[in-house]
Amino acid sequence: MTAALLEIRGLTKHFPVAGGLFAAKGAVRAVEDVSFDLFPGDTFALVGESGCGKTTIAKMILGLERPTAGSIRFKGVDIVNAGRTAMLDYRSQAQAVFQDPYASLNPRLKVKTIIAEPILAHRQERGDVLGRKVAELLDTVGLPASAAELYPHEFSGGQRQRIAIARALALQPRMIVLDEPISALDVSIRAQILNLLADIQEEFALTYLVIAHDLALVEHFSSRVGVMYLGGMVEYGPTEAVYANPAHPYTQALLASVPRPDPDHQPPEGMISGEIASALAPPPGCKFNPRCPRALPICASAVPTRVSPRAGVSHWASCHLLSQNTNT
Amino acid sequence: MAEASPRLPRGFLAGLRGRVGATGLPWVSGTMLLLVVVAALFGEAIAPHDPNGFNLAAAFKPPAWQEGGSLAYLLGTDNLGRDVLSRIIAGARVSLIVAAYAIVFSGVIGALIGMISGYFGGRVDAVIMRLVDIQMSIPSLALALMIAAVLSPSLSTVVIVIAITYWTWYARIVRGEILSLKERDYVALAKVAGCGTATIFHRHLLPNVMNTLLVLATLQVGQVIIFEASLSFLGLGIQSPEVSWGLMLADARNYITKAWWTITLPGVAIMLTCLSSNLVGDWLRDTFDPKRRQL
Amino acid sequence: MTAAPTPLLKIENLQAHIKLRRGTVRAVDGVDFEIAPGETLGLVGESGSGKTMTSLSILRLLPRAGGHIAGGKIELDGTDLTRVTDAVMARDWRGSRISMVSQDPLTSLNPVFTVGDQVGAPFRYHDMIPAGKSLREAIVAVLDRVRIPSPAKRLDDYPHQFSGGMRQRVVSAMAIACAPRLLIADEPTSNLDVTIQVQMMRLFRDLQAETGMGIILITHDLGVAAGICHRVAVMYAGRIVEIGDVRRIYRQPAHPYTRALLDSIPHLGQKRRRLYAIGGQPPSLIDPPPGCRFAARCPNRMAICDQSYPPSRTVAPGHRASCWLIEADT
Repeated sequence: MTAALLEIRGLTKHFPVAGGLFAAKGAVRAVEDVSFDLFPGDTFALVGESGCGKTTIAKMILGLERPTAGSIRFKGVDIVNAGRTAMLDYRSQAQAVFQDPYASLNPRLKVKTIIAEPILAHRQERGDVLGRKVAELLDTVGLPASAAELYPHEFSGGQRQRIAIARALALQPRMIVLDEPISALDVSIRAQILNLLADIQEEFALTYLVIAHDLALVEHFSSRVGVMYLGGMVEYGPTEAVYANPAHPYTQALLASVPRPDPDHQPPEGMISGEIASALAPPPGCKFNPRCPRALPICASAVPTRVSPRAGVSHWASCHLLSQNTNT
Repeated sequence: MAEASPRLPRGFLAGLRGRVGATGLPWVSGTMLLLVVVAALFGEAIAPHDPNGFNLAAAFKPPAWQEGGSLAYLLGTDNLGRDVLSRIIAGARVSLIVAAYAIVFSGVIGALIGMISGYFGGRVDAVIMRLVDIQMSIPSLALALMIAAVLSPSLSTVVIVIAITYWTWYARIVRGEILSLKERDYVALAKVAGCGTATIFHRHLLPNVMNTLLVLATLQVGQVIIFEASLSFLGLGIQSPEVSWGLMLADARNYITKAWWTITLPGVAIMLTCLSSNLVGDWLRDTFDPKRRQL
Repeated sequence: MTAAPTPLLKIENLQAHIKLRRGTVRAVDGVDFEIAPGETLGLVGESGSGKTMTSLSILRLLPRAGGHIAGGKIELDGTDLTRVTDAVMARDWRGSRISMVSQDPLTSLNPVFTVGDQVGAPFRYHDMIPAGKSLREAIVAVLDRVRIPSPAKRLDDYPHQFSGGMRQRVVSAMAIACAPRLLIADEPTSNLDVTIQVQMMRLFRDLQAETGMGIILITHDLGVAAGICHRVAVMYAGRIVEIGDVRRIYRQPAHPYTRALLDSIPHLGQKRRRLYAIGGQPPSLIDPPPGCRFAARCPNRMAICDQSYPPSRTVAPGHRASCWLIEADT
């Protein structure tokens, strides 16, 4: 079994509410005890609806937020408590592309500065060599070399996202975190960018961590998926396995609710009710239990453990129903 | 490649050129301000008389358009026979020097503190902002008096007093801008790329704050000039033989009824400079308002 | 499915232009369609295709700075709305006979007024409180229809006390308060979670069944459109390129753009394959090309496509598309 590139264990993040000079009054439990592995060459998708914590996890992995508890290890090295040199080294291997192509690029900088920024931060190259590197990167993402001298506002959304991807590639990273990389783009442009991401993944042997809410996209694009609900991971496994046999009621409801371009498809009723609870006061026991159509009495008191519906496949879900069925 | 998107300007000067079409140049106020600057720079060459030239025989001559006035003294003379026009021109230099230094000092200090406060947040921010609050609750004139009492009255005192009084204004506003700027995606991505704090400050934060700073600075010119005039009027600032508009007002205090031009005309000069710099500042702010970017 | 003999809404050659400094944008450039009572028409297209501008034209709410209806007719229940004055529009049509639900529930509601105040507003402005009920009762009734739990209690709550999905229901309540003939829903579920989206779409469908109102659903999401629309019109660069029954559009799309769009989005249940990527960009609407506007990106491009714009041709009864590939009507 290959070693994991990224190991997440017990990752937790609470945001204090009403902080400041006085003690916090409460906390938003954005992420609660999440563990998973990212293997080299994988495309791992974190899916979930608003408030599930997937973006917060991405930020912690990128070192933009500090976890309240838990560990993040990249190639075995602890990232959370890393010193400056270790962090800089990590940053040269872990890059990101964010959702909004209009906010990702500093409007006052030329494209060449934007793309070269990671290289400049690591003091790797200068001058002509740098210029050639930038031209190469622009070519890789399908933009002409002349784009280097222009400013972001002269490009469309799809082109800006290409620039953002070029910047992410600048240091030849091992892993790229993609936070909703195409959801802010026009429908007819999305496929272009998706295909580009697939191509460069193959060309540069990249590992992707994708944050997404579009389940059809995730099925198409990812090899492994983790389903998040209100801060916790409720299901994890290879995409095919999870989509073919969703074990957790929430995953089942999600998949059933995805709109399909099929006029005769109607989502079945009664799979999910009510609204997502607040992360300030999540329900006790299983967080999904108030909305679950098949909740058991135990669900309101005890947090479910991970159970694999079938042995031998690394596919698990946190659900009491499964523990019952598989007879622990 | 890209279909031609609207040519939006880049950089400050290009920005001015590009957007002049949208808002039109501030012709009147711009020219007035330009005149003041010219007077400040070339005062000695264009002033018809020596600003400090005594001539008691020519005292209290009214302006040229009044009965008794003469073209030799276009705006009249004061109680010591000094040409009012020449003194106004000379005063322009002092006013602008004070404004320039004071604004640069207070602007740089204020902006730096504001950036640090806004970017780092937490304790640092809380402490700095309390300091700002404390200082802002002291009336500026009272503060000025306290400082001037310690230092002897002079041009440098005025600059120091103004800088100390006004830095808080910049700090607050810049902090506000930084608070929203630091949440931008491109700042986060710069961190992800490995950029240090200093790089983020000078590459991402400062350029985006510059526009606001420049607008603030122009809007402050008027305030500073009036403040200087007040200080000099109270005897805490400029002293003879240097000329300042405030000093002119002070000297002419006793002659309001006898020689209205000695106090009114310097007052008009102050007003026009203040007004034109405010209008130019307004225009700059409107021109750089991001909401005006389209249409 | 052919349109009913007296269509609820009939749009003929609608043109809406926006004057910018750099030129006039022909945002809606000759749009024709009809909606029957009780029918939902999906207006599908990307940003810049003209779908929102079409709906704003119907409501006569084009941006004041430079927006205007440059030509065409908008007939609702027989009245040409392009000829109606703004005052009459506000008094008799907007909010009462035509209403709108838009994308962002956060900004659709005023945070300083209670939900009861805001839902009551259409009743008050149009003087349309149902007979035999007090205003409060009418508000509670309509909140109940949009399935807000405990409406009598929540009347006095403020928008921030509701979740996104609930807020969208409140906005829908405002929209249906005066029993509109036509509801325009502009991306009503884009900002909602997928599980809430399902509930919202069901609500619209049920409300339509109850009231017989027509719905124009504007969306870029082909999946959402398939869910509740009876007919779909695909818009591109200011014009409708294909229109027809929903099943035909999704199963037998006639226009290359529709086909490309369907091929370019991932569908649940499909094997992992390379998506078809439509190259290029939509054309400028200030100076649109003389021929078919999709020609530059079309895999079936022919010489004639660049020369002149294809007329709307019949593919099947009720299904029309503007493409030179389709045989001419006999």
